[in-house]
Amino acid sequence: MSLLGNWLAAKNVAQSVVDGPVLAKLNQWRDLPEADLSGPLDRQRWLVVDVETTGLDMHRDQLLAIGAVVVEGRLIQLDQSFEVVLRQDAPSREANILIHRIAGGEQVDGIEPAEALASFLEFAQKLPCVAFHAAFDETMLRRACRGHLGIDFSPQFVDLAHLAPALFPEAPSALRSLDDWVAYFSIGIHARHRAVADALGTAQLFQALLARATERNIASAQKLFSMARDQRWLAGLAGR
Amino acid sequence: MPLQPAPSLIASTIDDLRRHAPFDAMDAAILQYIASRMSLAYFARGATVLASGGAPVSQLFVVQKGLVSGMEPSVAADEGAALTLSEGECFPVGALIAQRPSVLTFTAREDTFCYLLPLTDFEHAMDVSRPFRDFATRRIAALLEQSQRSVQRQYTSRVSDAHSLASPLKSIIRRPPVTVPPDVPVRQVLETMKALRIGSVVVTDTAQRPLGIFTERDVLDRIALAGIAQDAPIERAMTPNPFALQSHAALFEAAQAMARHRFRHVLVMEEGRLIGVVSERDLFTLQRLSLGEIAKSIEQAGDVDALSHASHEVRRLAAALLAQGVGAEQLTQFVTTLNDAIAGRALALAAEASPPPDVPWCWLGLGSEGRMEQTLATDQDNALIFVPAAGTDVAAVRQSFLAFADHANRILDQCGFPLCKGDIMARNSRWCLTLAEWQETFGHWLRSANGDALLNAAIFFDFRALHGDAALAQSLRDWLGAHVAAHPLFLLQMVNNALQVRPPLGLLRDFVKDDGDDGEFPGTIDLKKYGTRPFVDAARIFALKHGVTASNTAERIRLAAPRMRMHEDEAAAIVDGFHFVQLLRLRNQEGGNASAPAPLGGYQADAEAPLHHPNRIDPDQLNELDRRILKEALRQARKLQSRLELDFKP
Repeated sequence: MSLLGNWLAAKNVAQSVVDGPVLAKLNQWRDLPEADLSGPLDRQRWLVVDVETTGLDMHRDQLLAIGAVVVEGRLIQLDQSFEVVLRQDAPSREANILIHRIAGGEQVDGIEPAEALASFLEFAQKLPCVAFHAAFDETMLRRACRGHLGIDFSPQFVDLAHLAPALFPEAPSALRSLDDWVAYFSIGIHARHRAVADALGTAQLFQALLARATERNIASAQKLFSMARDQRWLAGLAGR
Repeated sequence: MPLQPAPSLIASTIDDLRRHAPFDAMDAAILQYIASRMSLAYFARGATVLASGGAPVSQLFVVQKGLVSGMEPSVAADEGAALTLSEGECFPVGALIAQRPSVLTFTAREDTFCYLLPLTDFEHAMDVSRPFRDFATRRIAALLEQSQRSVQRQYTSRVSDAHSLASPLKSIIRRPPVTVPPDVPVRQVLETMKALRIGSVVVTDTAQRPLGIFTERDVLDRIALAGIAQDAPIERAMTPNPFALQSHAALFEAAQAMARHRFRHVLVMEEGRLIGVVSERDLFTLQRLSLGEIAKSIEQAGDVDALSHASHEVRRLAAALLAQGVGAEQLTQFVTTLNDAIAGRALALAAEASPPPDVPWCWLGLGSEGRMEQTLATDQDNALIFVPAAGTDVAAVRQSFLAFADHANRILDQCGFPLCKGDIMARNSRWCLTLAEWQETFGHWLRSANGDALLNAAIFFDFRALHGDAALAQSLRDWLGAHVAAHPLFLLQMVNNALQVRPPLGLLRDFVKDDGDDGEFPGTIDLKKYGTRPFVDAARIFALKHGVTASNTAERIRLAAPRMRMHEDEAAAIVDGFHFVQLLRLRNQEGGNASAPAPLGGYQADAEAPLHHPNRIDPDQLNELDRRILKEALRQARKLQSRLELDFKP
């Protein structure tokens, strides 16, 4: 057993069986350098993620599916995308199934969580992440990675819910949800609440924001992060 | 590290592409390949998607969402876009194939997403996918075929008989042809025909190339009456140079040739080899309404009622052919063939009641009839040339011709060709002239080049001999050809006139609609005025300038093209565009607006249409494929107009 395996065992890591290939992936991921956010914005590689869960409680509900799309050089490469459904011991409630449409059978037949998350990390590398209402996706992913892999997954997240109004102050202030914003840019989401389709819609929204950011001479990813943070702080002040 | 494509993202991209031609006709495997090679890009409203000039284009753009316009760099923004592209449309295909920079600058008119496919993958798709290659190299023709095929599919699913007249000849060949060498004695051929119970044999050389045909009907004429001995070689009794068509030609084309030339067999060839013979009887068994039978009933019509009935049958058959997806060119040729026969019979009936003087004369079809482009709603445009005997009183001869023409015009009216509102008919003494008077009239128009002259020229210069002494029409045509060159101002005025009407292709998602002169047809465009006329006018001018004597628009373009150094493909695309607009007019006249919400192509009668105008359609009622073809067709009309400007304007 590797060092990492010992460490996982010592931490009494969850019910998952962490076998060889999973360990190899985790080792590889841990060895990756941290993301460099100082380069030109136009060449930055990003990971746009969306998660589906058994409910909206960030601290109790379970991660059901992860979808992710890579944006690089302001383009979405259609063959660089990721989707996985995590195996559940029992399918989620029916009302919830109606939202994400991951049927009970598919949930039970999903990939073993440790394996699914390790594959996700392999895909995600240490890219800066993008999500809409990012706190939710961030928390769900961090909890799952800690619980199933004993790993601290904490990349930088840029939250489009804050970045969008910051870059498009002319948009109506009533725009709040992902649905509102994709409609504003006439983005069609192929299958809303399928993780990878939502990630694609989010990535398209991000493309529109990147185009505007370039127009505004925002030159690096670092600047984009601070812009989103400032907006969040402002929104907090305004009680938004 | 290899990345795992999420199957659902590729699948959703494929679904998205599949909603549009040509992707809907491509295999799953190549779509999978294309989708996995694509990236998705965003262009803010107003942003340049692709600039003209610069480096050769390195990728194909497919609009995923939004609207893109392409403009020539020299054109001011308010002049309107050369083309607008919406969801599913590809650009810049021509530049990619030629590996050159884009001619147009493409700009996002709305927030737009485009799929991008790298050049190498575009080329790979061209190599492995026939539908994609067809689309890229012969865009309009390929789209047209697709539209027609879907009409045909709808038709064949409606009728039990799977053989429509649009099926290929090959589909009804039941056995290999019986052939004989040219030196076989007549007797032996007759014995073979009797033994095999066949109505015809084909005489071929040693390489199986057909030399002639011999049919049972030839026994009387070519053997018995011609006094040919039974031991003479068959080559002396055969009909040489038999009519042949390629195996992929439509049954309809064979039927039309039979109706026009009055023969009963057509040879079917494939790659230079004879593969079968199709007889009139083979076609009759397929179609209750047959061309041959209608042609016969026209020929044998003993009175106006019978002729009027036959004319009604022509319209019914035209409707049936239209529903079967027969193309506009063949359909209008067919309508013309039979209408010519009706005119011929009407003249014969008129001659019984009021015989024309016994001097050379020729009945001319003008306008669309002269161009062989009659649609289903067509009124009369005709005229008459005669040559009085020397020393006779021209006025008296004319009077007799006018009486004859008046009969003929009224008979045609009863047969469904309404009298011309502008009185452009042979019974009008202004249009019943001697050859010398016609030359004088045409000469006057050429010299004056005023509005009336141009208007008349647009109708009369498309004349064609319908009946009588065709040599008179030919000598008038020759005279016109020889004299027009001496009147450059006339041609220039014609060009100015032709450029007054611009095919509508605005900045909006689809078309600028003209709504009718008084706004009585909101949301529609006039396909005659804005659709076919630009082609017709330009073709007439090019024919006059380059000495092309044909009167048909497609023929004029095809024949003038080499003389104006226009590439064959370019001319073909223009002709296809013209025929598509013509097809839409025909469908529209046939029964309602061309539209079918779900399947591609097709049209349905719309009982609720408030005002039905024979040449007006509402582009929104067209299905997506037809709307794209119409756009492309109108773009071809614009191209032809640009060529006019280039060639004539200083």
